[in-house]
Amino acid sequence: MAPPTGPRKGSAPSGARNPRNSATNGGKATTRSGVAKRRGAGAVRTDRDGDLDMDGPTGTNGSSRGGRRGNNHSAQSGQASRPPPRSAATSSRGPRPTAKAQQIIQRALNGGPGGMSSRITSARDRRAPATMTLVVEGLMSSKAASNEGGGLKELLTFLERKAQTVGQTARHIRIKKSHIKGDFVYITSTKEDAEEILKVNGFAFAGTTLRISQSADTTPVGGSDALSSTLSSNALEIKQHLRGVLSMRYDVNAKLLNLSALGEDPALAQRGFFNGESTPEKLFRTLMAICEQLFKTPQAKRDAVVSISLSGNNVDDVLQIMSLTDTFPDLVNLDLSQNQFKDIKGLQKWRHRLRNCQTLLLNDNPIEVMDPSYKEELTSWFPKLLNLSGVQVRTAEQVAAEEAATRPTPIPQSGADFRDINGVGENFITEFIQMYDAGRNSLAAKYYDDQSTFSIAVNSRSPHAPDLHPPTWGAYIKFSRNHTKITHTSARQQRLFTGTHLIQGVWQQLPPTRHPDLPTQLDKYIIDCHPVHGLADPTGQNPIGVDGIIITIHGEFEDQEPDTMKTAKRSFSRTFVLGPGVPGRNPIRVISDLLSLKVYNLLPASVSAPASQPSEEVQKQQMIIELCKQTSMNAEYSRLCLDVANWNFDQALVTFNEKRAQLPAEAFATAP
Amino acid sequence: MALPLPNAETQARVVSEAAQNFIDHYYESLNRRHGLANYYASTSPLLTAASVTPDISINGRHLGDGPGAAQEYEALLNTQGGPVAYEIASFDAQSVNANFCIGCPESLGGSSGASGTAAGESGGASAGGSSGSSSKVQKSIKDGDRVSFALQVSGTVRYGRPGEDGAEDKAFNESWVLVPHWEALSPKAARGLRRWVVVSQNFRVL
Repeated sequence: MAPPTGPRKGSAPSGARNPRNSATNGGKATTRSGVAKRRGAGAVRTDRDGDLDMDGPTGTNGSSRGGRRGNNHSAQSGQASRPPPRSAATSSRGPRPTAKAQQIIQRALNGGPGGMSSRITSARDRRAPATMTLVVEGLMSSKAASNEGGGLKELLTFLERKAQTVGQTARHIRIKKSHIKGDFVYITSTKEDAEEILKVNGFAFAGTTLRISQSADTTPVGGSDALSSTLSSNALEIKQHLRGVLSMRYDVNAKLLNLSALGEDPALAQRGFFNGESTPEKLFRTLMAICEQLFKTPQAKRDAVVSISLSGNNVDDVLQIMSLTDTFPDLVNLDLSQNQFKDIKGLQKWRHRLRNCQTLLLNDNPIEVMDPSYKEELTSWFPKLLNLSGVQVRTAEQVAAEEAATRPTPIPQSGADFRDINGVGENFITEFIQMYDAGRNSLAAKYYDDQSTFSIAVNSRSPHAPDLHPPTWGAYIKFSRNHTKITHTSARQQRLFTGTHLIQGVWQQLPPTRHPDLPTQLDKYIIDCHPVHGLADPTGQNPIGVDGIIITIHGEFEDQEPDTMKTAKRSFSRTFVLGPGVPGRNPIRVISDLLSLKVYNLLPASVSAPASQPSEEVQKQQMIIELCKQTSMNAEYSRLCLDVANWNFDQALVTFNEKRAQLPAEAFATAP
Repeated sequence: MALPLPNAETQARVVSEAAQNFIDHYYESLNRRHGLANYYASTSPLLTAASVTPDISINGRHLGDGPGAAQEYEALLNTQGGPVAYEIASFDAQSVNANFCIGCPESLGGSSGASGTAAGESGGASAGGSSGSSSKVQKSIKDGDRVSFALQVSGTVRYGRPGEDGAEDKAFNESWVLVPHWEALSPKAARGLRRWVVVSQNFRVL
């Protein structure tokens, strides 16, 4: 047994430390509806101090116990001014399938009459890290002990509500399990809730003082381990039995779980599953809950169970088998034939479920006669349905087409679309990137003239990787001409820089940058360019204008803010319109320079088509060019050489060196 | 040969307004998957006759020059499917040529080689009409009607419905060059013509 970990838990007698596995714990657990019932009975009321009012449900003074307390009247008015805490809690919680499954098993397996000696409410989150068990002393000596049910319900409600008030927490404190053992009540809740509940220690409850301390045994809750540990041996036995039934009805090859005609199953009838309080619905939920436990992951479930048959079970509304779609949401084939479905309404609750269902059989149901139009409706509900009651309603191709239509296929990335004119674009951009970091003044002096324009626009809303902390834009924002933000004509004018001097001026004020070396790190850039026509002729001779090129370059740079010395990496896109220069100056001039900045983002990899024909040809071309460069052979001989070497570049070089002396002069592009 | 070019302020103002107008309408049409043909130079017979056709490059793919490029882009968008939404976060524009001339009809003061006087083909009209239309032409130029401009847009493409499986946001950059749409400048222009049309489009998802 674990050593004591809490200061107060010494008060728990050692004999009562592990109540959960005790065989006497066969009581019936309740769900949230049980909680509601508790309130509905009206047994619990409290006065301003939170003390329990032991009045009966009607609360009249004429009731037999009504006269016991003098503050009855104030208790009622106090209660009236408060909203009922439980109802709010109930409505705000959504059901969690897995935790609910545990509940259902618990309830179904522990079935039978009896007071509430334990209870489970669904965990708020099944990944709740750990629970804590507390021991509460004082119920037996309280007036509540004489209540119907021993006062446990009242105590739990009191603890939950008080813990929430005392802790001033907005969340609802919840006791997940409780159990009476002698004079002690063991309660289990999440660790954080338990810490709040501990604060209620020493509070007065129904005429006694509660002592709350941490119990010695705390077990983590999470999935089936916790569940099985809370099941009585009887329940475990039943569970084992049902597992047996399931395994007998499971066809591993067909991946079919055959749950047809459950009512006629002798193994189930023999255990009395259809007698007394137990109903087929309950049994079904239990079976589903057991299935839920059998699979560790949703994928394991998908792999193991593709088809389920529920034929011949007298089902007329899917509400009765709702848990099927909780447990097997990705079911592919479902046989509901020979049931009692009369109309579409009986299936309505599954309208937005079973998104992967391909076969749905409703043969031999009254709906076939009573609502023959059900097929169109159901087909529209289930997007992947192919076979409805044995009739093909879609083809797999149609499903694929419909699916594709709901999802975009982004236009693929191609490599650089670099349609240069005589290397003008390549030379310019290579020099530009390097000089923009190293010598902006001379760069501006060389390529920009009195008519050149430059402006900068900051996009501060660009998407980026979630783990990336976006940099600030302080050094840029005062120059940003982003038209969506800068809407006044005068401000737009001020932020448009025309002429070498103004451009040099603003470039000096922008933080120093470092761009990746373009020739060696071409993968850090995407550059497209193509010719444009109708640019102003700086000589004024050609009235319809001259030709030039437009370049768009996308890449990244690092900058350093001069004031703070802080460095940051940013992405940029820059568009240049280049044209012929004024006579007597640089032959190329920048007409327009539009710089756009945004948060850093890795550039998309340009098409890496998996070894397809064109990319292979591109690779060959690159090898030819490289070989030409290294050997001075012309392209034709380079190709021949590579062909001989089976397109192994190194081998081709070796071959070249071996045969060099024998090569004719015409093999070389220029004299070597 | 001094032309009465629009001054820098006029150019900047006209270009900003034209860019704003283009952005507002083009991306709306794009997102609604309405026709885009009206935005491109191929919509103008005058520009097309002068070999001014849109040059469209989408993610590095050059959609063959010529009048068919815009259609090709729309086909590409259809292949892309939906839902795809383009959201503009930033744009900026600069004048490229204060007086773009290619394809300008004689009625608007353009012709082969003529830059101030309208060398009309019908002799009678040229004498009387040229001075009148010449002043109109000069005003039109001075007002910035004939600027061509470069436009750079930065924004986000949203693929899929937000929150759904496979939904994704990507940055994009789109750089444009637009030129005057001569048909829209004509006094007898049909209603609803775009004043500027696209001759260069460079789109990249980044």
